[in-house]
Amino acid sequence: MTRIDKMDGYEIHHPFSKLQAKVKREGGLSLAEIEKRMSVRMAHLTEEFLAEIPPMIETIEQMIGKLEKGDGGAEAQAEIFKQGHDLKGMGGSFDYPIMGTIGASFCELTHKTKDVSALNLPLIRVNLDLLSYVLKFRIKNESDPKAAPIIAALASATTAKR
Amino acid sequence: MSEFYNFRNLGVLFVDDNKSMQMFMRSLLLSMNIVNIRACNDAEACLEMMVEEPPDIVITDLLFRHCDGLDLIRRIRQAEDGVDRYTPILVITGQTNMSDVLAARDAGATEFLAKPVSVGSLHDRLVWMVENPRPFIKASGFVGPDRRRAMRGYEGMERRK
Repeated sequence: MTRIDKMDGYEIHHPFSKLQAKVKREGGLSLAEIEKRMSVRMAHLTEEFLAEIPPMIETIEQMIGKLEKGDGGAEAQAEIFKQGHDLKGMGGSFDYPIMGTIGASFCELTHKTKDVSALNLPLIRVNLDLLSYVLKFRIKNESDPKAAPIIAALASATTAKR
Repeated sequence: MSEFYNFRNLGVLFVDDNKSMQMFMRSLLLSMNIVNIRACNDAEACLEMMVEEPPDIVITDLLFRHCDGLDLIRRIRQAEDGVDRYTPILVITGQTNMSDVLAARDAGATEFLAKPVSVGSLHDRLVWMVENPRPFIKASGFVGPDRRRAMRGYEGMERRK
């Protein structure tokens, strides 16, 4: 049962902790064992993740196309942000941090605080091209030699277009 | 603190509308021996599933295509549809600005974990939630874990990214 302390203008509730009741020390796994188990699953999961990227690219491409024609509006902007948000979260989780960086860039470029008319569509498209390149060559992070040209291109585009 | 925790009896409800993230989280939780895992795509499904079988913990993103994660947290804290308002809520999201963290806290989130997620970061956060249950405050305009102790204390425990 939940004990409730009535204070001046508010209440303090002390609910029963189901987590403490259900999580025991006996029979537990070490973090090292859990990590080992997860690493076995990661190869398959990563392939599944990479298979999700082409449809994501296609969706962003369609949204950019709409925005370039002037008929996408806030909905297209929000969709690119959502795709960027997902990519930002998944990239690092699946050991492709460079995809996470590109996802963060999509988010920054399409954040809801930006007006649709002020979106930097060329730079959004540069990021989309980068994502395609990264996927094609399976570039995981900036230390991959194949990443050098795109990092330079991104820096150049960012400086020129922002 | 012991490295060994048995999470096997936990029932987890995971809310994220991204299929890859659902698979990833399911694998993470299975690696921790958690087998009672349910997933859904939005707030409505989450509330329905909470009524059907109350989970021990809800893990949710903040950004969905068709709903708002903050709104979901508020609805749980308001005990909408009779759900257990005290259910621990772990927010896992790529929205990591300070304003997002504060918004999640003010909506009633229990803990916050930034994506990307690793085995180590999720394990640490769950252990923190087990070891540090927080009282709830019910006041006009807020129901949720005591914000004076909100989402603190884990910083020093981060490891193995």
